[in-house]
Amino acid sequence: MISFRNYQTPILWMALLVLLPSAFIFGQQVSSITGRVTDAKTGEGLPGVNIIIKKTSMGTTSDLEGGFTLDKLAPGSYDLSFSMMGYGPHTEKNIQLAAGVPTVLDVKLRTNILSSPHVVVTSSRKEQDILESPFTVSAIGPREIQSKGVVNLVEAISHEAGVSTVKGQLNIRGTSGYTMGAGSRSLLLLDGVPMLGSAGGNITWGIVPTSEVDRVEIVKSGGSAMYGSSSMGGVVNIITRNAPLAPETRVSSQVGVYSHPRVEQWRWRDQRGLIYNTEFSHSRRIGNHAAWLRIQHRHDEGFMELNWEKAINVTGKVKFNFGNAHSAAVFLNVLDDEYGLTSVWKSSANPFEAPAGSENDKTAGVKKVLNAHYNYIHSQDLIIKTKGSAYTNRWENSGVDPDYSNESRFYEEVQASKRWSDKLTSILGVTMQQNTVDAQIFGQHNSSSLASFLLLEQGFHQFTLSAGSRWEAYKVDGADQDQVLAPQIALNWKPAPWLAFRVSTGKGFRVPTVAEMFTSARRSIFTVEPNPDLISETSVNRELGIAIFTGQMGSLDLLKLDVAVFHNRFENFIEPIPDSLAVIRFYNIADARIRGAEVGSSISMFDNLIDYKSAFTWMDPVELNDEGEVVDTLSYRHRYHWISTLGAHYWGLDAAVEYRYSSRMESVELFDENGLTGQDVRVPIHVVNAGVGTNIGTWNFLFRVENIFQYYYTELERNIAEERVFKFKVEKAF
Amino acid sequence: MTRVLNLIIMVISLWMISCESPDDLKAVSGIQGMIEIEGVLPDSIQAVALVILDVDVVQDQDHIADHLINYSDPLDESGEYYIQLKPGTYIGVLVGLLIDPGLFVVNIDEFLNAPELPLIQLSEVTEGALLIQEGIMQEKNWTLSF
Repeated sequence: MISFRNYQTPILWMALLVLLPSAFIFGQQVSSITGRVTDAKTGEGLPGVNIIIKKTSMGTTSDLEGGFTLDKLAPGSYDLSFSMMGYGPHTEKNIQLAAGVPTVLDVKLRTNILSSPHVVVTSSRKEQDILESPFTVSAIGPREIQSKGVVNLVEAISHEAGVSTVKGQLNIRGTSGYTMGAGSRSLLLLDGVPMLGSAGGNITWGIVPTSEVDRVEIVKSGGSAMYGSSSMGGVVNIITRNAPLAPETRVSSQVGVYSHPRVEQWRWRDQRGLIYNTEFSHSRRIGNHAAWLRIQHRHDEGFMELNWEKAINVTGKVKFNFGNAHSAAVFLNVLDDEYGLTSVWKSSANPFEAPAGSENDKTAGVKKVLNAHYNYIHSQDLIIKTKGSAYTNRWENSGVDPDYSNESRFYEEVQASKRWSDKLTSILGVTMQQNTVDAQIFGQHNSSSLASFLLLEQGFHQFTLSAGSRWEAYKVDGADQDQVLAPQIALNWKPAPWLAFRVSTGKGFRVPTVAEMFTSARRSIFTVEPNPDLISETSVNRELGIAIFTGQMGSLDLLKLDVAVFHNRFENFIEPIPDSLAVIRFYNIADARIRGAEVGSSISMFDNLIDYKSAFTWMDPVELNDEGEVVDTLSYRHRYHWISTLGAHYWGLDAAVEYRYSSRMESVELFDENGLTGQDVRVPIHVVNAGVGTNIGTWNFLFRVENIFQYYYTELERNIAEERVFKFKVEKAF
Repeated sequence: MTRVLNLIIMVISLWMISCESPDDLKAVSGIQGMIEIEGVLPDSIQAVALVILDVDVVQDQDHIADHLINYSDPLDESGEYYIQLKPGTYIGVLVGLLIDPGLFVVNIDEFLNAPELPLIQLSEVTEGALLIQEGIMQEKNWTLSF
């Protein structure tokens, strides 16, 4: 039984602070802005354009004809930001509103495939111009996701600057490495709700309804002050779309074919492996409300033995609109999946085969997610948002090492955004989380957390100073585990509408997961034993950055440039370490430091005929001793990372070639290279993908080849990475 | 301006990549097959492994550890084995591990430097000559009777 008696006083205080500002809101004379957003080329009205009043949390979306209305606005001067996927950003500045006099706007947007949201919500927990973010933020829009035909979102985000994955484990600027699925330093949010597993803090990418994603925002540093444990290395926020204004039904089918291995001796099956992915989705308005439902069936025979997966995923979202002041949303996801299970290959002579005796190893489970949101707009100066979430995950392993796990998580959050003046805003909130797990390798445990956070933003001239902090308390099995205060401070200088400089520093923290503290298992010749004495790891993050983001400029249709220098110093870093008794435990190693630099740019030119996106990240991930001297390189990190995408758009065809490079991992934990025999060789990663797609009426066709040159490498010891695969997708919209 | 920056990024990235060999994983050579254990392992032997020694061991059979090249994963019952080797001539010898296999693998360097290995030799050096060729996994089965 989880008790929060000790936390009652802070909760009351927080509730009081959240509700108090509403007592000071008085009636005043108002005005409005109406208008229409159209395509600059065709003149057609654009539905679904995001329209945000800058420096506030107010906004709306355009209707079927591109029309929009923003009412109940106090007289004054406003800047309006217009953004829509596939179109370049646009800002209308200095709109003067007089009391009772409506203003009419006519806005034209220019198409652009590389365009990503100009307004983001993750880094400061509110709608914000991406140039005013205190941290590096990148955003992926639905057209970028759809143009890859991805089923698993990992495929899309691994082509973002500084983002990589090791066997599905998310790494932002190398912070997580590989922790055997037992802890993550990067937080995954779904519509702002934490989605890490309650026992291991791992990510189940299968629950993400990729085809219904509106955008993905990646915050690359300093998340703990706003999002708490596990966000010290960054945050990925997946924002699902709301149903469009017009009813829409989509049916899509994707077939993939894996190649036989290029090396004849590695061929392990007679028939090529296949992937089938079928999706049905329907969305419609019901009165003022909107809903969508998606059903997905996936069968992947796998590129290697025991890499197969079968899944059925049902997802739905209902957005309720109760007038201007109240809105709510409910998101439901049920994932029923079954997949093969192998931890290492059979041998480097047979890297696509599973070890003998493991042929029947598999995992079957059901994951359920229910997220609910309720927003109350008291006035344009005060918005209260609440979130609640329930998550359960039950799975069972059968085969050589039978195993099971039943875990659940409940999450609650209240947040109040208050604008005190044109220059001063505050965000105040309280979150609570309760986790329970009953698993063969962990035993039965529960954990809970209570947190409050406060962020103040003060603008002066061209500067925005933001300062905030989060206090968080954790309990494990009813006993106090830790209390952490994580402050942050950031300064943003925006001397021009297209240029911004930012500097920030903050404290990050991560509480050890139940898996890191209590895992007791035997894997291969190694034994994993518990270490309940683990303590929280902490970090101090520093970042300095420059961002340029602009629309039309000469022959350039879009230009994005971001340069960042970062320095993260960790204390009591938690890593899995094998000892001389062949026992792996998670230990607080002394200290660690990851510093580096990142340069990323995107351009689109010649009336969107060609676009090019490129980013290079350098990292220096090292372990330090108590004196601050470098003693080793952190395991499972790449020192250099480069992504590059070249796209062309002509004759109604959208073509792209992607290249991903990661330097050879310098350090691993379990099986080091053997110079005598050439065993466990590690190589740099060079992966090239290419694809072409087109729309013909209401049909959409996509052909894509991944790992086109069949480049073979390992991300993790004795685990070969994915074989070349040809994918063909057809989608029909009704 | 941006085109120049993109060009700089590409040039720097290509330079970084050129510092490394872009070779991916290739077909390997070595030996694989079955180790058949007939009967039950004695209590003193915790597992069985195949060790690969260089050919000089034939003239120096009292110092087997000095000639160790590679070894298979330890087995406590009949099963498949696999050892990766560079092309050349080697000697294969079956040994019994007198300690926990995990302990042996993790502390192999310490054991190799110790005066006595926690091993017992189970097959003759003269029976195990192996010729390994480039890119070929040689098949060889071994049998032990207790």
